[in-house]
Amino acid sequence: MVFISFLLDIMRSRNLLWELTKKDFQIRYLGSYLGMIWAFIQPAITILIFWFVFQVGFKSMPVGDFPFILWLVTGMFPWFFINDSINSATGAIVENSYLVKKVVFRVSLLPIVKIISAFIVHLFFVGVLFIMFLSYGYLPTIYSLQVIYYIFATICLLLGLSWLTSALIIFLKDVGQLMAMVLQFAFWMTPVFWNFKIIPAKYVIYLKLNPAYYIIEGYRNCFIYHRWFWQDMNVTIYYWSFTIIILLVGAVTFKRLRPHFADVL
Amino acid sequence: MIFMDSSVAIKVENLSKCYKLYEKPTDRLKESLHPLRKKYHRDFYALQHVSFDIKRGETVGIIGKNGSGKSTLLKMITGVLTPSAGEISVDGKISALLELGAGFNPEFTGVENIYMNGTIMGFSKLEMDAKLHDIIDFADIGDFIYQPVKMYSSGMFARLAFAVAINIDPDILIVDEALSVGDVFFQNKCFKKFQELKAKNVTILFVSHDMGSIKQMTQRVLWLKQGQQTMFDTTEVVCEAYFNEQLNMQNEWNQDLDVVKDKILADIIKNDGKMILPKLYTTGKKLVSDDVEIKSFFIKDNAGKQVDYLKVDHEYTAVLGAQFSNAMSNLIFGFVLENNKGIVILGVNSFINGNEKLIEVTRPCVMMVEFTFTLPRILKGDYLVSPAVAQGVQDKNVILTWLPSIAHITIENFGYNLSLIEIETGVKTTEYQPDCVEFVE
Repeated sequence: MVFISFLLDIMRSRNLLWELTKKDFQIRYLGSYLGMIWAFIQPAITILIFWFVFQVGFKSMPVGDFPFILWLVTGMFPWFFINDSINSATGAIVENSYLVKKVVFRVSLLPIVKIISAFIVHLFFVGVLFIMFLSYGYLPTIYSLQVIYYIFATICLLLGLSWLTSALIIFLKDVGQLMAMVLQFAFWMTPVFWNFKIIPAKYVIYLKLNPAYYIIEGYRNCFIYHRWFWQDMNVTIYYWSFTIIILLVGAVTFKRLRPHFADVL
Repeated sequence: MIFMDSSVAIKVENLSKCYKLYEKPTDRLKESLHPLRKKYHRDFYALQHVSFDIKRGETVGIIGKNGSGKSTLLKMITGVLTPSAGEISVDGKISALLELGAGFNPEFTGVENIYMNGTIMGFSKLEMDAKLHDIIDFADIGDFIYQPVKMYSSGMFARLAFAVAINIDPDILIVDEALSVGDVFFQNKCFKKFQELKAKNVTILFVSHDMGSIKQMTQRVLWLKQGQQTMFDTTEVVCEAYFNEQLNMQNEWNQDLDVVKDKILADIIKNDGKMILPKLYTTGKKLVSDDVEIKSFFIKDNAGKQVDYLKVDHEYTAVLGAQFSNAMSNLIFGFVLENNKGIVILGVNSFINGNEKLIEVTRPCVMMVEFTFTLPRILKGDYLVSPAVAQGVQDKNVILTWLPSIAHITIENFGYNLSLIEIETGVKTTEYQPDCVEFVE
């Protein structure tokens, strides 16, 4: 019930959300000549470097039948999405303190705005993903549609996490540093760069505790392995339990701390 | 929800705001997340037990010193701050100008901020398009409207914020001291707009230190003192009480400083033949020469009583007592009277007012200089007096000692107080036929 009324609320403020998202993009690239293009250039360059290093330089072996670069970017793009969202959403409220202190405003929208911004960039890269696969001669399959489900799953997790971190950082500046570290750690714990098949079977179970594992492998399920998410029911149930707990913890923390925001900022 | 009849726009009941003071910011986090609600703080009441209601279309002023809880109250009514106890009911759309700035993002241009503010207030782009012209017109800051707000002067900032606040059709307008940064023209414009809004039955709540505008604008006034509601009554009643108290405080303050033990008679001669002069207490760095020191400065009335509450048209004597440690010549003694805006209203000295005569001191002594004058009809209010001793002639002199704003006096003028100074003027009117008068260029 609460969740539905929350969704309705968001629907009602979609105008405001959209305006705020536009402004968010504008602010980030204000004054730079290429403007918003930077949002896309940076990840693109990263991918290009990886491609050069692994495909051209190291001549990495294909994973299964797939060229390494395709395998890499299917994991890399969702990771960029997670990374960008958490990084920017954590500071969302501190950054917009003028909205907290001077006007009556639904502050809980601020982290959402950051997630939407990251989501828009991500959508572009999902498009790039399709194009890359096409250029290697792989046509989209019915499994590719699953990516919508995985994006939704990612957003739910990000929402809970960013409510938690954006509220905590107001009281505890260390959260920013901590999140940067956690993300760094999580990146290497997640099979973005490496294939989890190289890990001894008895450790794989621990790797699966990482929710990012579900997302990254999910994207590969869509494009490479061609598996449905219900074929890995255990992991799916685990992911959603984890996500719902994070959402609840995030929402409760945010709600409890919200009245103090204006006093502290 | 508390019951509210429809003629009431804002109802505040037993409102308190307690700031929890924590030793460390993390204590606040620990406390708000603590499952057993353990206490980690000290309480500080910014506002305590405030209750009042404001009728629709009424203009109410809030007065009180800095830190008395005015802004806290406004922020809670607006909803930016959460009350610690008590209830607030607000009926109608609030537009608030809290501190400086409204929700402006410094990176955006004025126009972008106007739209942003509109969106936050729940207006669509189309509706804001319609209001844009009025807002830009009212703000009247020229091409700066297309510049990022961070480039603005504080006056421009206030202009834009105010222009937005009043043009988004509020039912209740809340203004927190924002007008004081605007220039006279803008303040004037704002007050005219206030009248316009009042006519439209908009409820206005505003904080000001300027008793003039409070008197001019409001019907009722809320007076806060250290977070407590001292008074909530008609403007006349509250302003009078407020003024009286300030006078009393002033006197108490003087006594605290021990300027004079008993203020009955100054410069009297005691039985032992010594003359008593109230000693002036100087604090902070002031221009003081080694040879001369102003030890006493005060104003007394005709009866010889020391006063700091002066009435226009009355005769007073300013007494300056300076101690010299050496013989000196070509001396000028004087003082200036400044109003609270730093404008020198009167300047008096022994050279100009004493037939261009220079005073000479032949031995170490205390020189007492008395200036007797009739106070002209100047605007009532607070004034500051600065005595000085100089050496030389009027256009070429060295200031030996100067005590800026050493004494604070209050001047009462029972007249109209329309201008800095009032003069006696003869008025004569004569009527002519239009064809009997020719206007030549």
